Amino acid sequence: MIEININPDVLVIGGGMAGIMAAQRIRKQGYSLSILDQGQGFEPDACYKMESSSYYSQTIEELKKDPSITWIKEAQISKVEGRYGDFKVYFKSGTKVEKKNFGAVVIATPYSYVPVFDEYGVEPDHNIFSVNHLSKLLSENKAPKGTCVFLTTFKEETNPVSFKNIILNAIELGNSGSNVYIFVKNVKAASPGLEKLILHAKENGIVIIKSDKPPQLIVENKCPNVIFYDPLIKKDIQISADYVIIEDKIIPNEKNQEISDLFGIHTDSNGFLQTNNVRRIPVFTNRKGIFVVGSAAGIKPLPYILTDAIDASCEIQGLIKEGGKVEIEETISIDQEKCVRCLTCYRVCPHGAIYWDVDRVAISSLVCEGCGICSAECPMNAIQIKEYSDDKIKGQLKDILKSKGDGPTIIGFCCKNSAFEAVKGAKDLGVDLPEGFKVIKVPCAGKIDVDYVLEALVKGADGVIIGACYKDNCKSEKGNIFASYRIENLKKSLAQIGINPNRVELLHVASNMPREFCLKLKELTEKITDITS
Amino acid sequence: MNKKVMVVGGGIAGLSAALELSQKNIQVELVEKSCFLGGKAIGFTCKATDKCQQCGACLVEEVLRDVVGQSNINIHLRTEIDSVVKNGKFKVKLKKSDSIPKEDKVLTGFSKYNSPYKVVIGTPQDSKDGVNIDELGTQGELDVDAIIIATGFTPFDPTARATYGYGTWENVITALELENMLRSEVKVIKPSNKQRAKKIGFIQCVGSRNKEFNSVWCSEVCCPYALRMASMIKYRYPDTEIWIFFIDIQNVGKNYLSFLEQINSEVKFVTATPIDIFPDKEDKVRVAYKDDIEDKRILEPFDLVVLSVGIMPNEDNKVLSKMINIDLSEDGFFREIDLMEPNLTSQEGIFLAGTTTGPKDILNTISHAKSAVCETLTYLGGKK
Ligand SMILES: Cc1cc2nc3c(=O)[nH]c(=O)nc-3n(C[C@H](O)[C@H](O)[C@H](O)COP(=O)(O)OP(=O)(O)OC[C@H]3O[C@@H](n4cnc5c(N)ncnc54)[C@H](O)[C@@H]3O)c2cc1C
Ligand code: SF4
Ligand code: SF4
Ligand code: SF4
Ligand code: SF4
Repeated sequence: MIEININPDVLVIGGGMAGIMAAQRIRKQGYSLSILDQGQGFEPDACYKMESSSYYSQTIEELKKDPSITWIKEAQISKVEGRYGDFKVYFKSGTKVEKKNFGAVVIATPYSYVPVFDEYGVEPDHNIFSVNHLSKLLSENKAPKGTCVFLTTFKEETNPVSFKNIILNAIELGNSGSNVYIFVKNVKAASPGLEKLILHAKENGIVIIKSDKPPQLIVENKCPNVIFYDPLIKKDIQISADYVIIEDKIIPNEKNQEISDLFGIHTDSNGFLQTNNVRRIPVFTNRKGIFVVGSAAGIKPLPYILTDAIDASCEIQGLIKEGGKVEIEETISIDQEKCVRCLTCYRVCPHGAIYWDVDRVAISSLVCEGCGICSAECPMNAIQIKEYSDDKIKGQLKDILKSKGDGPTIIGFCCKNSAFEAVKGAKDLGVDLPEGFKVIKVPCAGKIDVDYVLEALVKGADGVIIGACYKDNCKSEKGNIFASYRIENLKKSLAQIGINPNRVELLHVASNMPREFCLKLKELTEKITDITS
Repeated sequence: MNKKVMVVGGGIAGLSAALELSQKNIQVELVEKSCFLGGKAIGFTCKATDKCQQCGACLVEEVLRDVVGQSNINIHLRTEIDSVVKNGKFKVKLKKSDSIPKEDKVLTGFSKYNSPYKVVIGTPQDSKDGVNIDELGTQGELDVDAIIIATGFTPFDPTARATYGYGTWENVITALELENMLRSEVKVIKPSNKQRAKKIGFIQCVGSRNKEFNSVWCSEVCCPYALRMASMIKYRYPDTEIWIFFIDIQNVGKNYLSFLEQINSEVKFVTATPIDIFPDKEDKVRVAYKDDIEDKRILEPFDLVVLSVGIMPNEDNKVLSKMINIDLSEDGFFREIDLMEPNLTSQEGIFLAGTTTGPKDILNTISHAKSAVCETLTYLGGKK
């Protein structure tokens, strides 16, 4: 047993819609918190302003009266140390640096925007501006009047959040007497209540023009003309606009990359702070105790910003409870005698569980997810996971190969999140697995050491199959990638020493596809049988 | 906390809620009308190509496995609630469900996997480790501290679109049937001759976004599931030809940009709502649609036509809503008390989770169910 201190304070990063909602919900659970704004100010995200700015202002007023909230304005985070239970965060504002400790962190950075003027080859002007600028005019009761044309992004296609915002703006323009046109490639209706809103807009005279190609925008004597091809009448049509309003493309907050580096959080390919992986749903990151909410994680309709905020507060409640000391079991250990301090483990751990402790490498059992990537990568074999130690796995291998049948024996090292479940499912369904197929459960394909595979082959297995999750479905993000490059290398070495490399294969499968797994398995078994017979 | 919560509905919403509650040491009574847990989504196929496409189907499997393993979740299969009386707590009367929902038949193959709940209809050979359907169902009364409604949705019934011939033409199926087929057979089969279907037409928005059917909403899931299935089929069987008839394509997943780009090169998109579907002499089904640009009627032959049916309110909602005294929205879904309170109802102590409030995919359903649990815990904590 190890004793660990859990700090009951929470840090929320971001003062937009997501940040404020998260803060409100976390306070409701009774935790004191700090809210950091990194220079965007405390304002609702522009794309939700029309929808619910009053809710935002109400909430923030309520929170401002709360003495258990610390507002950190215009500061930057300069350094982050520690892990779940005890994050040490250094805030820099001017030349001053202040350190604060938190048990958990909620990242709720608001969206950033780029108006797509470029796409239409124009510069902003008094009669050509962005949707966000229009919202501002509308809130100041300075609604432009006349023929107004909205142009959405065609290059990247818009999304339901931006589109809803455009419709809401358009309705207000329509209500104040303007003729409104919206150009869009595909109407984005996939958001609660949006289809109704679109219908309402149409019934109020707003014209939505769909087209495959973006309309042309030509500015003559400062007057914008929108020209588009109507496929029905096979002719160009021209609208002389008084105002052209251009979509603000939603992009991830420009601070996200910095936060990702500071906190060791993986981003998706867009730059949002949650990888595109269903195992991170709803608010998880690759690091325990760090949650992402709403706009920090992806483009989400407002109701899901809320469920995220609620979910995060609930997770925090589960993690830090009342704070104070907790006792945990040691699940993973480093043999300090063997360790040569090469830091390979530190570099490969996807969950930030490994750290430098004064003069040696240490692993936090509290944070470790037990994937085993470190133990397979350690050149000294210094790391052991209690439940899946080398001795245990090799012992299983020995037992299996002791009672070898007549047919070929194939060892399946199966990830417990996918292939192992698929095999179990196949058994329950009564689907036949190849006869000599023997399963060894591993916590992640990343745990599978090349040693295990070699030992299996040396000790008499005819083939080895590694059952892994699909790419982008690994709980530890990269376990299956480690597995695939290890197997690739192993195959090369096998070929060099005259062993047919096709005796070792990697199979990707999802837990819910037992039949598919069996089919693939059969194919491979037959191939291996051909090789070895 | 020595509390008990009833979860009504054992789809992914109910399962996620039950698991979350049980992990917080709350006793759960999970009431499921059909004979199996998992709802629609337990029958879905994995849609991975060379990589995961984030359809969420595997999560359902995993949550189900965890729920079945929890000792503090009591599962009442083939059971419905009969009445609810509130007097501080809730007194709930349970009854055996006499309707055996259609999907049980479809999902018979998966029922055995929902171990230990193996259900047997009639007396097949393996009845020794199965439960006879007549033995299922709980009658009686239970006292619970809170209720989570997770009764899900009803897929649009395409027989209402008579000209599509669903139910009449063998080779016209729903996307739900395609999901189940891919999961159990791993390939797409033409029902009339059991051969692999080589030309498939998907028709989008069947039942959704339709004033005529009083369904003025986008079901949100059908563009993603259809496009992901199409992409997966093309990956596994590149010689398959796939057409998609659509009004508007919705974004699919977080990387919709690259996904849409890729799928555009794999399948043929046609902007049209087909008028008519009927078989021809070559055992093909013909989709009749109007090509607006050429201004003519086209009859395109397919091996298989898949109707992308939408998410409609659960048929039971009217009865349920009276029983628990919560209004439905004008669309027929359960209504949240406020846009900003996604799980609360007009009845304190009763919470909503999943597609019972409107269209959601699996991932959004899970996060909605989790927040429902969070609200329930707050309610229970406050009540003490
Ligand atoms: C064809 C199709 C394909 C789809 N594919 C995908 C996909 O690939 N990815 C994705 O994310 N989403 C997909 N979806 C959406 C997905 O089905 C839903 O997100 C999910 O099923 C919602 O779960 P739920 O628990 O809310 O509802 P349901 O799945 O409907 O579950 C409700 C449960 O409650 C039970 N129940 C109903 N009434 C009662 C009652 N009165 N008393 C007790 N129990 C009751 C039902 O028997 C059922 O078990 C698809 C939908 C369709 C129609
Ligand atoms: S990889 Fe192994 S040897 Fe290297 S630092 Fe980690 S434990 Fe030590
Ligand atoms: S087992 Fe995985 S999570 Fe744990 S320390 Fe090693 S690499 Fe990190
Ligand atoms: S495609 Fe769907 S079922 Fe397959 S691994 Fe990805 S999320 Fe799971
Ligand atoms: S998701 Fe696509 S198919 Fe489904 S209703 Fe919306 S637009 Fe139509």
